[in-house]
Amino acid sequence: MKKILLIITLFFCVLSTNVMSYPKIEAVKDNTNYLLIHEKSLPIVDIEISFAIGSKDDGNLKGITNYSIELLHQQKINGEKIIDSFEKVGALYNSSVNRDSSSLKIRFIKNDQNIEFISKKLNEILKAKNLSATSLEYTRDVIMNSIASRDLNPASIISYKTNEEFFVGTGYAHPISGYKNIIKEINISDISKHLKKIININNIKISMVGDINENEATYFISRALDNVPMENDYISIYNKLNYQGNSKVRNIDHDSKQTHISIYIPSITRKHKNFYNILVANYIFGGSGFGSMLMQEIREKNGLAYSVYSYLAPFKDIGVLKIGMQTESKNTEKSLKILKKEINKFEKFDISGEKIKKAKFGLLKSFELRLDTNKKMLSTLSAINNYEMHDNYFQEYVEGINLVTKESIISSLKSNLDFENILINTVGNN
Amino acid sequence: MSLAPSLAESSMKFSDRIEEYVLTNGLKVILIEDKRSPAIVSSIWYNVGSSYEYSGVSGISHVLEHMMFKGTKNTQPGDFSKRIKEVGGSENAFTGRDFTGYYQKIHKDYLELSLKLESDRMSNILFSEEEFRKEVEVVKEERRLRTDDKPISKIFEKIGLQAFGMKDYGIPIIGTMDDLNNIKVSDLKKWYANYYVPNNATLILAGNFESNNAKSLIKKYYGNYSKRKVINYSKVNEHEIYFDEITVKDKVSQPIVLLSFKKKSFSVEDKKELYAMELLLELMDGGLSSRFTKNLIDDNKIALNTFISYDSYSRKDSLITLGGSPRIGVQPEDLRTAFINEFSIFIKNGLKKNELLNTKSRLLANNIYEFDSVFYQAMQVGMLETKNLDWRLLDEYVDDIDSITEKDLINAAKKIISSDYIYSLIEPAP
Repeated sequence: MKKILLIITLFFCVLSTNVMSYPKIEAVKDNTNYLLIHEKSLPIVDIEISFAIGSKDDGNLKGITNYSIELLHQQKINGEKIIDSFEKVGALYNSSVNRDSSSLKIRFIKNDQNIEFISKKLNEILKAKNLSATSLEYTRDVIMNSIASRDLNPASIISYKTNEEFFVGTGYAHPISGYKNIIKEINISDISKHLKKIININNIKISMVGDINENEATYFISRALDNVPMENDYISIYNKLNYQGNSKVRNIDHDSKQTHISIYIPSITRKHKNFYNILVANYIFGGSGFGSMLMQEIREKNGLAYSVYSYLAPFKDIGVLKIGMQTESKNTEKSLKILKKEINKFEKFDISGEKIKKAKFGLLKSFELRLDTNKKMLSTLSAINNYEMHDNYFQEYVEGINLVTKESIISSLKSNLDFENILINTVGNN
Repeated sequence: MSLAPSLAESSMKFSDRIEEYVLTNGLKVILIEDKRSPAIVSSIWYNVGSSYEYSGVSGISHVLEHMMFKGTKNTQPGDFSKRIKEVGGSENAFTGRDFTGYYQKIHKDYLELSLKLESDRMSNILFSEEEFRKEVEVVKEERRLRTDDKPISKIFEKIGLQAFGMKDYGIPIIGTMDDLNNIKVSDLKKWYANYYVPNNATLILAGNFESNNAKSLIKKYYGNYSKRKVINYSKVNEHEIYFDEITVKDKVSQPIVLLSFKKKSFSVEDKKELYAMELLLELMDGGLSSRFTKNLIDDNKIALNTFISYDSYSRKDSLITLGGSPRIGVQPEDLRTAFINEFSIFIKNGLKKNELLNTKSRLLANNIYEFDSVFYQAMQVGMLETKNLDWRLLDEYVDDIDSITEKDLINAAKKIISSDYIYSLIEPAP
């Protein structure tokens, strides 16, 4: 009997993998740092250049990675800002910084002229030789204003205060935009020095999606990276979680109509072997919107919030399961009681096999739909690139989900979610 | 630099892939084929939104949208979302001034499920008192989250009321708190019975469907509903706009200045004038190379940030709002004057070299990028339909924009600065 069941299970795995069709990922000229999905149905090219340096690498100059990346597109060549050159040809440029990495994204209409032009301009950005004091000053004002705004908005307050507490003693603790007293002291020499740490050939990954073939991609990359520095003496410091919690609620007083609630549970990183167990478990708990345990209790049964959610935020060194909601301040206590009860239920995970099966099926089907635009393909490809999972990412995802069982979830919840060290914060009139 | 997007533009037409027809009961059906992925976005649009409401029932269209997930004669509360999620789909709904829309993004294998569930709630909603009581609390939480704790949303609500009163586009989509407290199930039933009929709706499928199969399923699930007369409950708008200045103190880090000008509703006869307005506003603030950024932020250092808010295809008279924050040390009044000066300077000196070409490039490229998403394609067509406008406008857009001249832009600029406007200021609360 056991043998038959095993055969059926294996057959299901193979069937699920084969039925789905995923885009082909090419390593440009066999270099696995440069990945391409050639998708030519639209005359659009999307490119993301990412660096393995994020705000966790700020050191004492907290906020400097964000500040530096913001200045790149403001460089002026022959009196014209690089961002203006992009806009002239209808190209869309943006940059972002998160805790583990930074990136530049560009979208443009495919033609030979644009491939020449955009690659040249990106090269100018990456060489970072034209930073100006005027841009430095303006960007400082913008960042200082956003820091000031951060203390006026309950959603921002709870986010950065909870991070400061939970990630204490690591590079993940401070806000990406930094602090006023540090930002105002950062000068052009600090920025130049930091950009050298961020931008070097060995530290760059490029992901490309759209109407661009391998030869064109090779040409584009060679132009964009021409003479970009190669030195790489910086090694990112490994961060270990130091937080010790006790599930007591800390309120940060703020005058708002709603109280924001944030709960952090220590968890695992993306490449952990039990990642898929936690993913399926969280899907049932609060990661799937309507029908999830949290949505059912907080919104559907009690009408306490418009939005309640949980998600796994897997950083490079540390993982955290985040739970969040907002409610009218008089309902804070009631909401916290329900949330704690649901967390206890989640920990015990007395969920039927049928529900787990449905969750797995839903996750796999939605995974296929996740690649329905070039934009989303780029975002997935870039994640694959950054996690160095290009070999068999799609297959591994499908197999990872298929192998999840109730027993494997329960075991992972025990070993991979630290329910003894939960952090609970609220921000509002309590 | 050449106008890159236009080369690719000729192949990017809706008319190549669109089919439309009307069922005998008046339901309009639009099929947009796009086989780039296995996804289909199935959406239905009802011609009702906040501009159909009146004082006392403001927000009713949006509350009804929420109640549409609370069970029918054939489904339990929450079943709709659960069943779509079980097959990996996602779904949501949205209420605007002129429409209430519902969509599901699903794998092509589950089109029938989506049509079956959506057609069921066109006429079988239950309206349980208990469910309503809880859901209206959820909507109130949504209002607290999106409006009451957001200074910029609150000021826009105030400006709308001063411009149009509790009529047309002055009515807040989410409703006032007083009206949310007073809306009854009987009001909802009346609203639903009147507006949720096939002859007041448009069904739009976008994505990877097989046309004959889709048509036969649509007939099967929607064909049996009867046509009914729709009564217009909205009241005649006798409100006259008044131009008193609005000054409030709120939780902002820097003052926010807003200048709101009245804009007439979109009509095909005035297309050229309205597109000239759109192009002018793009030229002023459409990107980081636009005039506001160059002149007010970079050169004159007056503004920290700027924005323009408007709706091209409005069904009723609406507002164009110019806004932004002054740089630290600059008075709000100076930014106000600078906004007006930008238009005066443009009228006096006209375009700079290549400025029109670059701005058109940007708009046309964006027009192509929008084809990346089937969801967005359905949104574009759906929004036009609910404003009694034809999707063919989207195909004509490229030529229409291309035909705009400097003279048209100067006329548009004159129209803006010769009219009165509502000046609003949010000052940082002490």
